[in-house]
Amino acid sequence: MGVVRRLAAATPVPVLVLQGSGGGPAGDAERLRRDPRLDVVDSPRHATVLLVAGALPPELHEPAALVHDALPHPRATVRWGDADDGWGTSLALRPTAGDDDVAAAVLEVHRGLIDGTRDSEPPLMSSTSREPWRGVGPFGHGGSGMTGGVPHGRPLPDRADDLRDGLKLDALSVPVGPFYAPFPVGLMLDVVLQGDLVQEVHVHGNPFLAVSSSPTDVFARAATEPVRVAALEQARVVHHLRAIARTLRLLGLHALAARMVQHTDGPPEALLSAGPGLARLLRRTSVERSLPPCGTLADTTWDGHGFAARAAGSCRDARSADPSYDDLGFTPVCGEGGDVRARWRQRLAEIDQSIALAAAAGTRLHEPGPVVEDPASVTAELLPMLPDLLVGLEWGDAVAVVDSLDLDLRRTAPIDQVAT
Amino acid sequence: MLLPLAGVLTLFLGASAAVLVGRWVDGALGRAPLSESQMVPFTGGREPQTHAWNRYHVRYYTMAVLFLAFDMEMVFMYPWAVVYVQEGVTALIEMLMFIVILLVGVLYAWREGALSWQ
Repeated sequence: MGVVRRLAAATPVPVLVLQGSGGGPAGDAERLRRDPRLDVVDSPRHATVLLVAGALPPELHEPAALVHDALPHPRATVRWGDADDGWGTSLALRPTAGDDDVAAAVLEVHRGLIDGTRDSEPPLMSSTSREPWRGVGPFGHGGSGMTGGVPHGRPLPDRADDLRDGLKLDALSVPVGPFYAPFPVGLMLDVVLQGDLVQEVHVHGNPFLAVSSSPTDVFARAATEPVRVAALEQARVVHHLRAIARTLRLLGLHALAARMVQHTDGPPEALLSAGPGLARLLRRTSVERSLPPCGTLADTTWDGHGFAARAAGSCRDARSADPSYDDLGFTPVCGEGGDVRARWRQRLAEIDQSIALAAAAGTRLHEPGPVVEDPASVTAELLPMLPDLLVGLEWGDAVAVVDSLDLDLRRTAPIDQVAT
Repeated sequence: MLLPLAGVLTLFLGASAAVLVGRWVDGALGRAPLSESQMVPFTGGREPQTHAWNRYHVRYYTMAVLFLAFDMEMVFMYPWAVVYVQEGVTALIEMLMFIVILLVGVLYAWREGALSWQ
């Protein structure tokens, strides 16, 4: 291997992760961001290896194939965990079991591509243009419209009134998702944009509903088996810290994001001692002011529950009626405002609260029962509300709103929650 | 007389050779042709339905016009700086009057909302 190839093989591997359904290690590919051997990228243009973690539901097979084909050559795919979904059977995939060191497998595949022992993968979809760009003239020129002809089978955008001043300009239809990095995996929106303003939003159905997958995390287990209250609250802190890290990455604050998730996989003591400091640090920074004050979920019009509802002023929390929390001094954190900033403040307050509860609970066990307070919002309730929340916003603000709602479409069997 | 012509000819031949060498190097690197998926913008794994060529409203145009106007007015400062040494306080007062008139313009533009993004 020459010097250049040797250097290329020694760099962190640019890998694009497609998160599928299922639990276990492969159901949580987000942790790979902390592996120094990997560089988890957000676009296929920057990736060499495609990592498909878990099983892909049928509706995501074609989008995943398009993402695969968008990777530049040389490229390779690694399947991680459940690979019996029938996707990519024509490829010489490198399968890894759920518990394997997936980073080592990615590295091995990457090294094979660099030293030429592994061939670059062919496209899964047809590699030719759907339709040539031709006008009506004998040389492909002329015709109606700005360009003459239909460029590659795609018409130019229609004109529509702008929401702001009614100026009639081109409304651009953009299909976003299901693998758009700032959005939760599986979220598919058809967005009509006027410049950078969101004019219309259509939400597709949840593709993960087609696969039977129930959550396997501690909150799901708490419904059927006794778990420690402290473990539940630690998992809540980890959940919020990860969501905060995601928002920080969206703002381009990658170093701060890495700091947030530094202790999330370590011993609980380290997490609980670092947690209050991290929340204090975030309150001192101007991150909250960088978030747009929009995406308001009004408590008066929405009878919801969960974290996003509490940020809107609702005080519903399943822990209020949970006997395992008796004598721990639990009172729900009720936010106000209900917008992106309120949800940010709510996270910080709930981190502080969960750390205090974990310390007070000691070794107390949570009684199994159907009522467990899930740290995430209730996705099925919030999905139909997205058009109302996003229309009229600039695209950057719309992305911040979706991020703040903490949607998780893979959680197709949500934990039952009741109004308390 | 032929010397300039020979120079132009050499330049032309040199430039042509550079282009040909560039094309040869590009071909020798052996880049695979881009497939359909590699050419379209990536928005999450679905194909765009319309072409991305669209017309949209450049909403910062009022700010851009204001910037251009004030940028040009700065040009007047250069000759003023030269005569300021000879004229003294008179030149200073004249420039102050000029700046105040400009300031009124800025305040008017501000009131009309020209400095707000939307």
